[in-house]
Amino acid sequence: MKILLSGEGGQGIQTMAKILVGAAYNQHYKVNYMPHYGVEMRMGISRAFVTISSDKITYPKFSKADILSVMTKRNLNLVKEFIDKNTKVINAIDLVDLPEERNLPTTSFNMIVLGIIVKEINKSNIKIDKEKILEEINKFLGKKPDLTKNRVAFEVGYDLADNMYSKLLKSVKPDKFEPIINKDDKKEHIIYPDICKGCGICLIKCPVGALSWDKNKKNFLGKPIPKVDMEKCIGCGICEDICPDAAIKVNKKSKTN
Amino acid sequence: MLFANDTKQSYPKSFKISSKPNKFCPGCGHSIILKKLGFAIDELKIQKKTLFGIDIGCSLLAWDFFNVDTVQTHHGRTVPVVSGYKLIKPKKTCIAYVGDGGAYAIGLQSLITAANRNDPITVIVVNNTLYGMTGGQMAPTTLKDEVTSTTPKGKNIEEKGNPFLGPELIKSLPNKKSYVARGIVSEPQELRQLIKKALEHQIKNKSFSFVEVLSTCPTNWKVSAQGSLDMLEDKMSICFKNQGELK
Repeated sequence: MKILLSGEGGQGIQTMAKILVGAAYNQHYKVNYMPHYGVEMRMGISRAFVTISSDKITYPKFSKADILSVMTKRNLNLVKEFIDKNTKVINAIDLVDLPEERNLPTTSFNMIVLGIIVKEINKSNIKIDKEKILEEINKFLGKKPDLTKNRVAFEVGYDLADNMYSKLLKSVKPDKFEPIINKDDKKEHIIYPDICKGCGICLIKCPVGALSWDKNKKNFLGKPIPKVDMEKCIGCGICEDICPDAAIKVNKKSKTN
Repeated sequence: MLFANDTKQSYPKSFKISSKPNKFCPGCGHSIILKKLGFAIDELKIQKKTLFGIDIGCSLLAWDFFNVDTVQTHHGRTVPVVSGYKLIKPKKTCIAYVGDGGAYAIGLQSLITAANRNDPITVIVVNNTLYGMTGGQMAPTTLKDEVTSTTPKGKNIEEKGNPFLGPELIKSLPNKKSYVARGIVSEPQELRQLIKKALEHQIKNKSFSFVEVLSTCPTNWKVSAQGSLDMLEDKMSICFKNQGELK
């Protein structure tokens, strides 16, 4: 059974993999776990290659996965090469709000996904005991204050209702981002949400305070992006100048036109 | 990408568009400096004859930032590699883009030797007062009483020494032809001029040019955007007070 877990750095991908591998090892399966990170400090991708088998394992990585879990949209594009016709894709992107609905901390999202994965594994000839997983959760997260909530989150994932389950297997298309264009007769202010990282430097540097956070619109990381008040904006272009990601453009009409 | 169909661009032509959004943290000073370097390369029209050398550390995340020839070297050895390349290809414009750890700790002797020899290259040092990629350890440039992961009670300058002043050191060398400047990312227009002048100095005067840029690291300073600019303008500007062209 080849399992590929993928998500953003900080979502707890490696913890999931360690718990899964530990539980399978305690049930005398042959296991292998191979982490894979990007080099970035933040916003990097994180993957874990997990193999669980009753036979010998010869190589730690694989080219096609049996089970693939995806936790963010950005990752879906990056792991397409691991999918073939027998791959079961667990598409947990739509479940991001589930922890909040069940009064769980957002950081327990990975435990919900782990519950789904264990249930999916148990449909094959490899059986992993639920109690063994809970033991491993105690071992890895025992010192954290949210231990009981993480255990609850795992149970939530394991007992996920059928109507939710069918939602998982739907394919999701990546987000399309259109530039946000604000115009008046003198100037034009454009923000590109596909490259804006939402650092907020432009808000501080704006001399007239024309920029503020727009909570309705999200960038490619799912964070809020700035919006511009065209009545206050004087078109000086300082935001364009300071923006680290070149995500703002200010056009001013010349006097001759 | 959505950059298409625009007449005026918010980004330099030398950018490699397929690698954007870039890999730096939100609010990182690196991306501001690289954007300004890209504009300087555009203005001088040297995109096809530039060698861009990068070091170990956060600077290596710029390996696919530009559509220019790029080389990635061992830690602290960017300056000698770029100098060697310049000896073979004298018509190329060679840029060594290093962090403060690579330039002032492990690579200091290479930097001093290149400056003393008057190698015709441009060195851009990004000073964010710590080692960013490895988790924010103390660097030679760490400020007095600054908390890093290896100085949890604040840096004691009596034990660990004062923050390292790179441009002042290069300026004090007997080489009279070199160009030395210090910029700051919160003044992007001035920074662009300094980088452009440094590149021009390399091309026209065939001499060593050196720019240190005071940069931000919101991730390892553990501050917001406002906090990082406050730290930059209040604390770093006081410690590294000689800014602009020094020589």
